[in-house]
Amino acid sequence: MVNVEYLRPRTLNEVLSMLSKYGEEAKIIAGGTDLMVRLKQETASPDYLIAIESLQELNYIRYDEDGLRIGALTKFHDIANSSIVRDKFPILHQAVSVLGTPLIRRQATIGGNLCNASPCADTGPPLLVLGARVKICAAGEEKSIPVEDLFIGPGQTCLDQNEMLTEIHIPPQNEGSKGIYLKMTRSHGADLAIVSVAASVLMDGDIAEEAKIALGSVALTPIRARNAEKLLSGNRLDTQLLDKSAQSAAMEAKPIDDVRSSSDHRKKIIKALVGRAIKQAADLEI
Amino acid sequence: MREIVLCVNGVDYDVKIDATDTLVDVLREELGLIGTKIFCNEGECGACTVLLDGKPVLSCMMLAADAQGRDVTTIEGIADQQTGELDPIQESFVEKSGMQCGVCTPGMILTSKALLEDNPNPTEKAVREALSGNLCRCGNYQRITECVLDSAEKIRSRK
Repeated sequence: MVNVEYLRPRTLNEVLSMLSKYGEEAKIIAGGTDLMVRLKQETASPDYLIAIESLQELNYIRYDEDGLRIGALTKFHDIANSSIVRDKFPILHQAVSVLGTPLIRRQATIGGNLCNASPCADTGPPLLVLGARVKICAAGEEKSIPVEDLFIGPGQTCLDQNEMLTEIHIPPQNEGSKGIYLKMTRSHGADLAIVSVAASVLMDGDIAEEAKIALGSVALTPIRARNAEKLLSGNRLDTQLLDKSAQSAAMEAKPIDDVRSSSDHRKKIIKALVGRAIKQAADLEI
Repeated sequence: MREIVLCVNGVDYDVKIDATDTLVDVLREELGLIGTKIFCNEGECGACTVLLDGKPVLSCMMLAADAQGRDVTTIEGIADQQTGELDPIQESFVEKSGMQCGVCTPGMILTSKALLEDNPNPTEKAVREALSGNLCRCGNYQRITECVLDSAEKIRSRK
């Protein structure tokens, strides 16, 4: 591998001042499950590695009336095992439980996963339908942005060189809303999603008071399928409407041909999965 | 180049490393502990699994420098270091043909060790899921699963 200097800051402030100082020449390494691949393939060649895996101040899961806050360095294993996440935000629990492999989940962090910004990220669609926001810090500054604004392209975030994602905040969800995450893979084992769908529905009898749909692996970033959502909101759900909405979601996506699947195949899967996800989220037996 | 101290299987070692040396490279090349295997070298196959403070990690995806101040346990470290008596999981693998070529075996055993500490009485499904990040190119999954279940019973009965 390339010639690099290893830095091990002890606090968040130290990280931020290193980022200010080294900017483009530095890369943060947390769990390493994405960056190590790139270092080995030499598609990333920083002069400095800022190693933050053991920074406990960013390793937490907190819940109160303001919602859920997860520190960027929280490992997926801990998020998957959290009873708070499982009970209050089950769609996130479902997603992190199928992310990577059990070994990757022991090491990989939610902050690293989001900053890696893969269009296939299992965290993307659920966080979009949950209306999550992320806290971004730089030396002397901090701001909060919707997770949707974080992703700007495959492998690209809106972060500047001196900025770091430190926390994910998920607001309390509407009472009675139910979320489902479905991931289509080539095999039953660990794999990247060919298509993934996150759906959250709030039913009032058989009317969908609110519907949110997000798709992964079928566009440059995880996306909300807003036209598909509009077709459902405020309406009685029946097979015809679900078909129409699922078809709309497939049209809103821009899937590609790659080693895992083709664009056409992905569109068919989107249609099937969106229909399935909405039915499960709405507890429909149609 | 920097000098660090790595604690592996209860022993402190002084090693010289580059910043980007992975833990598995240092274990194998510097310390001669070749029980830990490099297979995919990308974190997908689990052959490089070691225990870090008792928890499984992919040592090909970890900087050796990040292992400073932590306890590393490799496959060489789980038998009784004085008597050589095998860990019950190792025993089961020997008795019930848990190995074919042996490449996946150290990873399988260490991941199973962590599983059985969290869940001493797993179902077959739980074992298969816990091992889903450890790939066996020989396809010995059925026997491996039986070995883990067998060793779980052994461990429970010896308590």
